[in-house]
Amino acid sequence: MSNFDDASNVLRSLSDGFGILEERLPAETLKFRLSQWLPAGSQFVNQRLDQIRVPTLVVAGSDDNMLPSKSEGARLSKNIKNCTVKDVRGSGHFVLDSRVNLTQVILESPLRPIPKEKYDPIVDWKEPTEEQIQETIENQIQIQRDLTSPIFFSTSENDKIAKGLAYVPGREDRPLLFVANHQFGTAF
Amino acid sequence: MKNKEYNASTPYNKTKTKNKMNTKANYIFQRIALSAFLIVHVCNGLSSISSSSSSAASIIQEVRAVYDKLESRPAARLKYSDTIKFSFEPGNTFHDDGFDTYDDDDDDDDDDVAWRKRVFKRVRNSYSGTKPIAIYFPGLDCTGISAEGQFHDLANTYELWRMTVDNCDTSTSFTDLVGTAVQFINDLVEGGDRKVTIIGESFGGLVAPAVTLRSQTMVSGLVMVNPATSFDDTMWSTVGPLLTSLQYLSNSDDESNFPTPYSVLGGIALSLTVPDFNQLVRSNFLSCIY
Repeated sequence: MSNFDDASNVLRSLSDGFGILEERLPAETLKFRLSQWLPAGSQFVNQRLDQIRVPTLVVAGSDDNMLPSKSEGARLSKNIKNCTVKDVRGSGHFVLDSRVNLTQVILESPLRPIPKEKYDPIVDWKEPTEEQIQETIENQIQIQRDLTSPIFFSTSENDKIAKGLAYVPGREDRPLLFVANHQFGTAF
Repeated sequence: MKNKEYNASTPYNKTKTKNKMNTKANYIFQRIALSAFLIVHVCNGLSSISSSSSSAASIIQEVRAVYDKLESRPAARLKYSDTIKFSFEPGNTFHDDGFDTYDDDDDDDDDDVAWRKRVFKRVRNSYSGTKPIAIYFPGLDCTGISAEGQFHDLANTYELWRMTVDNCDTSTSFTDLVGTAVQFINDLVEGGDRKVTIIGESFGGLVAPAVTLRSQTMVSGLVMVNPATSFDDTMWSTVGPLLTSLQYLSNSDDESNFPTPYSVLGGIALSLTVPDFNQLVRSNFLSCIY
């Protein structure tokens, strides 16, 4: 495509695209909202931040060039009693794009509206995977095994103590009395 | 200003040579044009927009499509004043059983109340009434376009309502706006124990806490997304009025297709402040400098 075509396409798009702003937010309306809504609203709200009692979540784009959202998040969390700030790194003023799922953000915040359903040990039980089983064995069971599994010692005729049952006399004509102690304190 | 903008925004200026002057001009145009549209579309995460097809013209088309979608007949819409409306966003579980919007100019108050109750009941029935409520308050354009991509998921978790204000409204005060929203919440909750989550973005981030302050017993959570609570301390309290005064520069009987000074400078102001780097990259506009 030649530069001329490019340029005329761009110009047509410019005219059409800028029209969207004019169409959706006419200057007269923007003027009214900037002069009537924002100052009045910001005065009303800022004087009463400490009166907000409901759990609050501030979602702030760290690269917001339109409003100082990052520092605003810090200020709000200082002034609102129960306030959590979620900083979205690298996001600008239009922070709710496909990189952020607002629903997820809310559900993972203290605002979670739906209480976790009570766990039913029978219906909700799921068979653990082989990995989970191995991990649990290594991290939890092995320690208990080491601590509680029996170890055998035997004493020779010369009073020598050795691990294992090698010194137990193996005469078949006599019965063997096996004395076992409690799990702990087996030293005696 | 254009040069400055160019230098500030491209790391490649040092390697540019004279034969790339044309590309430079194109780049500047592209940035201005594309960025202005980006504010309304890239952010929506529309799956239909692939980075390779993002020409300015197709972006504009898609932006218009999103606006149309937002304005098309919703599952239910209640009109609370001549300009203020609340639309119900259906989630996956919604079954349209012939909802009707309430856009006519019926001035009979009794009918209003009865109608609203009926609509609220049908909305609840449409999803078996098990969800908490959320209400979304939009930015200064009052359409909700910047969060359009979030509505579907929100509507699956919440009974989601969103406020819109017609763009011709130049008379409703901030107090009345908030009052109307509080009235809506009152009607919706109707003395029951249903709790409401208030979500506000940008300017809506100013409406949301104001609404919360006036209806704390009904509100269970407040979400402020890049809220405009810092407006007084920003350049916008100065730049904004200057920008809107540009409307007086346009010639009203000018029939040409040229955009007005307000729309161009307004678009530039938005384009410079709204999109973040990632959004610019995804729009593929950076590739046009090569």
